[in-house]
Amino acid sequence: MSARWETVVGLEVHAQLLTRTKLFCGCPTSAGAPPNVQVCAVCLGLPGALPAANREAIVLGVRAALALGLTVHEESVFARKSYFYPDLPKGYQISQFERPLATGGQLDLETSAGPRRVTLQRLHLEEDAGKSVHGHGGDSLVDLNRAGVPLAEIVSAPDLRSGEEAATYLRALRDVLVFQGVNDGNLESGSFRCDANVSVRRQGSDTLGTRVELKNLNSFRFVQRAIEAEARRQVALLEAGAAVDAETRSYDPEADRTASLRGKEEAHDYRYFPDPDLPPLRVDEALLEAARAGLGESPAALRARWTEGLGVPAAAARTLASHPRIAEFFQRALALGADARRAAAWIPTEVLRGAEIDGLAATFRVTPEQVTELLALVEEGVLSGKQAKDLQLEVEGTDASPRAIAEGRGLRVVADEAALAALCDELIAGAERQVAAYRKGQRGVLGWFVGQAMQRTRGAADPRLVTRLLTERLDKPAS
Amino acid sequence: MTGAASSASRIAADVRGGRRSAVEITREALARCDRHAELGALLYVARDTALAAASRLDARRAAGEPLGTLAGVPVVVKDALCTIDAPTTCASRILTRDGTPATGWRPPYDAEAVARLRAADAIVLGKANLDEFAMGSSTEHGAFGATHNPADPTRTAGGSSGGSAAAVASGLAPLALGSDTGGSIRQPASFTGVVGIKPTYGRVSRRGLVAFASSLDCVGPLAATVEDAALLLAVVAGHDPLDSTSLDARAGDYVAACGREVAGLRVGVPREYLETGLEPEVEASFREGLAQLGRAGCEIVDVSLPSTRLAVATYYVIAAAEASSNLARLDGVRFGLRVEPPAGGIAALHAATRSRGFGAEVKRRILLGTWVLSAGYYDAYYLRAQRARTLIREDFVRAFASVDAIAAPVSPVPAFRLGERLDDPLSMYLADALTLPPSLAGLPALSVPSRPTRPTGDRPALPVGLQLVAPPLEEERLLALAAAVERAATP
Amino acid sequence: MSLDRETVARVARLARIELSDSELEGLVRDLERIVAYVDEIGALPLEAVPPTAHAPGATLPLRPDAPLPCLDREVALAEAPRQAESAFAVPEFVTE
Repeated sequence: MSARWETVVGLEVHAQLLTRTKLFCGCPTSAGAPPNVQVCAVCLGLPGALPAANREAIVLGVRAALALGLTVHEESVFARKSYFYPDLPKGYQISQFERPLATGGQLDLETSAGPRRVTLQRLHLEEDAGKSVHGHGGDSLVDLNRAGVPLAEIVSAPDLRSGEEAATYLRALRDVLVFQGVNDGNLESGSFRCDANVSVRRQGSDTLGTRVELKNLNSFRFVQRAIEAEARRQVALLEAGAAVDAETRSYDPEADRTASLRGKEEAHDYRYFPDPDLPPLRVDEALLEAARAGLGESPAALRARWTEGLGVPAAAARTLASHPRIAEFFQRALALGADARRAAAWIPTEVLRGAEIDGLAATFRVTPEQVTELLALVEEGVLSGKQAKDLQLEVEGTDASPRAIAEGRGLRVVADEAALAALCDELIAGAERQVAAYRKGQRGVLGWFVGQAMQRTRGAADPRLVTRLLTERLDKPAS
Repeated sequence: MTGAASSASRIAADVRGGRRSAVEITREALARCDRHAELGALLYVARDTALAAASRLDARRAAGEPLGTLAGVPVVVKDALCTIDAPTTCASRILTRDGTPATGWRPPYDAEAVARLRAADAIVLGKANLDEFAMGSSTEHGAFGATHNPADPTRTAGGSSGGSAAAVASGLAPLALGSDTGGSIRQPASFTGVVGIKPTYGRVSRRGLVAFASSLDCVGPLAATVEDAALLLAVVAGHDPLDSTSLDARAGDYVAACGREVAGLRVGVPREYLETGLEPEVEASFREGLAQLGRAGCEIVDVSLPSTRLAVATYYVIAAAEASSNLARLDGVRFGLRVEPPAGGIAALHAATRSRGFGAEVKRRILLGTWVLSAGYYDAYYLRAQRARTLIREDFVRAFASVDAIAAPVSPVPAFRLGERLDDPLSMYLADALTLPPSLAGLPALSVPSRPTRPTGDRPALPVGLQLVAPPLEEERLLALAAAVERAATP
Repeated sequence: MSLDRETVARVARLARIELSDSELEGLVRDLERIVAYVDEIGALPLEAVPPTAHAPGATLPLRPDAPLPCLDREVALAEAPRQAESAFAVPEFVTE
């Protein structure tokens, strides 16, 4: 896209709150149930039904707002947003309009162009709509299990300037929400949804162009590409002298193009007014306390603490802070005395390899206690790194103590210099060709020798010591 | 009052004491329903379920189990309240499968007030006729016929709880549940000569009352006597945690309140109400009511409620707006009528269903309500109406600083002839001017029978009710005053 | 403000109510009279008066996050005008 143009993006995220029951009724929110079994008079929108608000949804909404630096309003109001749609049983959605739960926060990003701060305009609570499937012999089928599930809608200012920034923002926002136990961060299942408002303008202008809403973006990659495709389309239109229509569009990843969304009403008049069935929501001290009690350190704060305070490399810190259960694992290991740098190197590889992550839950095949022992054994020189990996495989799925096993077997790193020196002499004596190649300049052959030594000692040799002994001998001029 | 003869409290005492069987009482009530079917008070007679419930009740009594305060008492329930074992149509085709009441919508639950009735061992006798979705003041706007006034069958029974009022007035049942949004219990009670109470907003749970105007709707009792109305109020009143507008306040001892002394209470008469042009007989009846209060020891005082003239406009904007929203769920998708045009899509299905399903008055209000909420008009109408509502509320707060209750007529005229006002909706709205302000202010108010009009060549004696209004939560004071008026009126 | 024919027709579309020509005529007349009456409030200086949206002092009660009984699916679908595969069936409404 020509450098004369600037892309302007604002994002609206709808995040399902991790409550047991819906926002205004006691139906369960769990996913995967057969259609229309998690419904009642309230979420079916039957005549005479009345909403009753779920305290935990408010607590989680407040927690999310606090974690994002938003100002939580002591009083906010639920409003009815009216439109006709088959998956909206009451003909209106209970949302918040003029007086939302929270306003005015920010999210700090690390982008390829450096650190950026994105302003968050608001966070409000609303109920989700049901789901439909289409193409059923000329019919659509409506399932209301999801109708009434609590959502936090988080709206950013149009501060983002590219598809890439948008994807970065979404990942960072998701991390915060997942970390605080507010949302499970699952885009594919739809529990974390994003709409993008995209416009373009000439570089240097400070008025906003006509914006287009992009919906149904269900992966971070698609968000990025959709924004880029839409920006290209708008620029092409404007450069050709045409105008951009304010409309709603979807993204076709195969064609890498956006398309106008048919079948959705244009020009909505939502006729917002305060819901007379719901008096104003008051966030009192008790509720704030409940929200704060569950508030953990943000991923950014954790990363900063680990990299600056503990010398953990940035890439490892990012992985460790990417999921609350991984962060917990690492922090528990630290609490048990594990060396930060060793643990930060070990966990992202040896522990995550066998882990199963499902939303907010994670199962690891080993425990922080076992990992801490293994790392200590390596540090003490009892085990080589390879031996530790093998031992971990052995204890996976059990609660056996690696230290007990190692001592029981008398596992030792062969660090007896004399014994290893004799072994190296022996290896060198029997490998004339390799020695010649090494002395001709093929330094890589050293690795072969080390490998041989490790094989002969069944992995028990201290590789650093072996390497030094071999190098000393190989580097000696031929005698 | 004819037919039911026994009061609700007498019936319950007789059933609890084994002197009468619930089945016998129910059979008699059902027979009366058949005899008076032409009044059009009921849309549905719950013959089988009522007899079954009565039979179960008799068995429990025979087994020595304790029975509730309404044991064996037949109660008629306005057809805007959900009943799990009877159709609920709100007198609308849209809550039927095919446009006929026999295929009325079957709710999967009881309204909370109905559940409490049943828990007190009352027998639900049938569903009472109303104006469609409670929108109207004459019970002529329902899809399944009008209700006739037992005092003069050529006249309306008032509305929208006309069926409930007529049922009690004609003795079908001693008790009825109605709903009052702008006068819909008080005005039919006045027109038919029974007692009707609109409790404080939030006093009785709205759960299961098909919503008309959510910030105004109240469920309330109708009965032939003040004490019976108090008995029913005691059963249905009280906090419901699943209704977010329900008052978290202890219900009073309403039956005992009927015997309380009223001497020394100051009763205000709003001068603006007397300026609305009352029919002379209505005014005479009102003066007699004030005299009765005076003889009971009350001091009658002049008060001013200057925002009274805003009430009709304020009410109709707010009620229409809320109604338009509440009725959006009637779309032919999940229950009720569905009209599916052959070539159309979902929008056509919605439009065809709603157009064929709703009557003219309901459509009028939905359109008015949609319009006042729509972009560009919200501030000028809806928001302004909410501000005017504050003024009306404040009028009462000021008045109650100097008086304990307010007395007023219910309606400027007694029951009018069927068909007389159908062509002029605005004139129908204007007649509500006296009952609307307490609704807008959320106050408890009732109508107690006062002196009927004198019979003339043109018309027989027609009932006239006296309206009493109290500060929030003061139903007991209201009942005490109403009982005093009742005692004074009874020879 | 007046309520002309075009406005009433637009509002009817918003409210998903189909009106015949004669119905539209009648409604325009009725609504015009009602609105002219209601315009009285428009004449008053009300800006300083706070709107009453809810009973004064009322706040939202909050219920615990504990499950309450759902409806049996058969019951939930029992009154559906048309159903298929345990869902409410309507004419197809998205064609993307």
